[in-house]
Amino acid sequence: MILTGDAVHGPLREEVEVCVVGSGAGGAVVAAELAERGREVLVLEEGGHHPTEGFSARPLEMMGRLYRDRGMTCTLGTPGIPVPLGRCVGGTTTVNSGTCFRVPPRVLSKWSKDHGLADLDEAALAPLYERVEARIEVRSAPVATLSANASFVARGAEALGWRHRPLLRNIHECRGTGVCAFGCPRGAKQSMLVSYIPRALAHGARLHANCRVERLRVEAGRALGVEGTVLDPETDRPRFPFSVRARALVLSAGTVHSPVLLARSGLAGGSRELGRNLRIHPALKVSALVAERVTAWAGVPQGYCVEEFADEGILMEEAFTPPEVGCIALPYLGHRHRALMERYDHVVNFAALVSDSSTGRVWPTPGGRGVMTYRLNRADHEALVRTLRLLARLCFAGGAERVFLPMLGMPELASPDDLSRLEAARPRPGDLELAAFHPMGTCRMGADPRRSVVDPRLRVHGVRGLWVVDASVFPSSLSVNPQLTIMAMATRASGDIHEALGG
Amino acid sequence: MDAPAPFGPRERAVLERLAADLVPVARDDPHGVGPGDVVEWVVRWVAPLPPDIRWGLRAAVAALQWLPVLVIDEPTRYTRLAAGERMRYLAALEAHPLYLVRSLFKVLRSFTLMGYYSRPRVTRALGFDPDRVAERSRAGHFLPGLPEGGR
Repeated sequence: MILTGDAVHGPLREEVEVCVVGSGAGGAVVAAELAERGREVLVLEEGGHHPTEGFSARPLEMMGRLYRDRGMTCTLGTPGIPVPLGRCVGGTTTVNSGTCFRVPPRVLSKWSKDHGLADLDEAALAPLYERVEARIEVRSAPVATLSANASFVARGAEALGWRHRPLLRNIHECRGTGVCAFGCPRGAKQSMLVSYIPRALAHGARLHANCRVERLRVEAGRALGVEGTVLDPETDRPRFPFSVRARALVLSAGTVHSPVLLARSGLAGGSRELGRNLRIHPALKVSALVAERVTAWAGVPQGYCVEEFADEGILMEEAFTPPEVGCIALPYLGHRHRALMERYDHVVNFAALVSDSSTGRVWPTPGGRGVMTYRLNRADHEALVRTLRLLARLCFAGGAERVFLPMLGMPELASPDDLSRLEAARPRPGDLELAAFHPMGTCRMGADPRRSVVDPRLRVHGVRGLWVVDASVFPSSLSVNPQLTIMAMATRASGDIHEALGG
Repeated sequence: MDAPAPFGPRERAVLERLAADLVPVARDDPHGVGPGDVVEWVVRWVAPLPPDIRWGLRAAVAALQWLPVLVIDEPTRYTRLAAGERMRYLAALEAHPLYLVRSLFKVLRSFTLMGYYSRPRVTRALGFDPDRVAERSRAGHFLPGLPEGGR
């Protein structure tokens, strides 16, 4: 059963076995796995419950409903980097592109060496991934659903001799509707909203939407529950207080809000790592004009990748957006911009993320929000500049007539001859327009409590009965889209929690 | 209770001028979307945002209105500049050496463009019809442009 804020008519007080804070890739999986084992589970979600039937395919309207601060969350720094986050039942899985990767072995090796995570190897993770992949129907994006944008990328990569392929996605009867990032109106993308949450509810779990957790209750080193406020679904204004007592508490509020909640509750401060080590996979996108009409919004927006540079930490993926969002990525002002927009059905693009070693930090604000700061280091800046050059080359190799760069001072390359200008350019970090979609690392896991917030089994150091299960536990950049790995880790944590409760 | 109005009348006038400059539409705009409509959308979009973000946006509008003297050496407000000067000013803001100035302008540019290009008549004219997308999707059809049964 899902209870929304408007159905609450007074202060709420609950007592359950397991309380899960957050309904995204971590929380939903924990809830379903434990409910299936017969545990009494209550999920608390700050955002609203928006069923698939109400998804309109209007990008900005859906951003207003499904994203935190209408998609305007951003890191502070130079450059400031937008990091849009989901805030709804299903969390960011409701608004992501549905791309699925297993964590690369090189990342696991680094975790083992640097953070004492020797038991997190490929063999240990394989059955967890298999279970998740079966449940959310991970498969290669069917060719029938790929957009003309994917054909363009494939053509360019083929011409350059770069490795390319359709991405693996969590989908069921996808029709290439093209608005994955704004809520799939068909429910084809197997987000938590249509996969693990219904599974959890079918096994007796309950979910309260519009419930903002503000404090974790801990006494004598043991987690006892949470306190917070029921919000009005329309206005987000506070309605009533609530409190939940639980034998096990799972924090899956995401990389920005999990550390904020721990800090507000006076927990996990011993290592001084709480809120630090923020990684985001900084990304950039290059657009291009092609001669033929492509209507690239028809088809999966992120269905294709180029892996040629993955070992360098550069992963290229499609990221097409419909005109009402894509308009901001095209350069120029006034008539010149409008002329480009009138040819939006001839626009293609391609993006890439960089596996970052730069770090940032999440700071709790007095109002209970989290603010991200992030500073791009030299290595990542150089990787991004290299990425920009590679993307531009790929666009021309794919047949682009003009290429538009997210870079100050060089908005356009008018022909392949202009690539040499880009090669010679030395943009500063603030000259690049970046975005990021994968915040992680602010409650990092590790064997050493002096250098980590949670232990290798995701238990908060020094607190019994409290687990953190979301991307905040990753101790370094993952190099790939994180949702599958969050779900695999959540599957493992569920077994641990069940045992801890006397399984 | 409605969210507080994020912009006063003077700020709205600045935003209307910006909308007219960024999305130049003739009086007979085929989509019937004028600068006032764009600003209405921006106001509705901004109203529910947290106060710190709303204050930042008001600061951006104030900067846009008052910076011509520093950016293009014209001692007057943005809304009082001649048309050619306004475009020169906006281009200078977009490429300004100070990152903060560029960023404030970028936010206003983004909102203005989103306000225009989110209008159903405008997106339909560009070929993107969200209502039809949702309808076809729910009915299990592939989108036009994707040959049913496979590319």
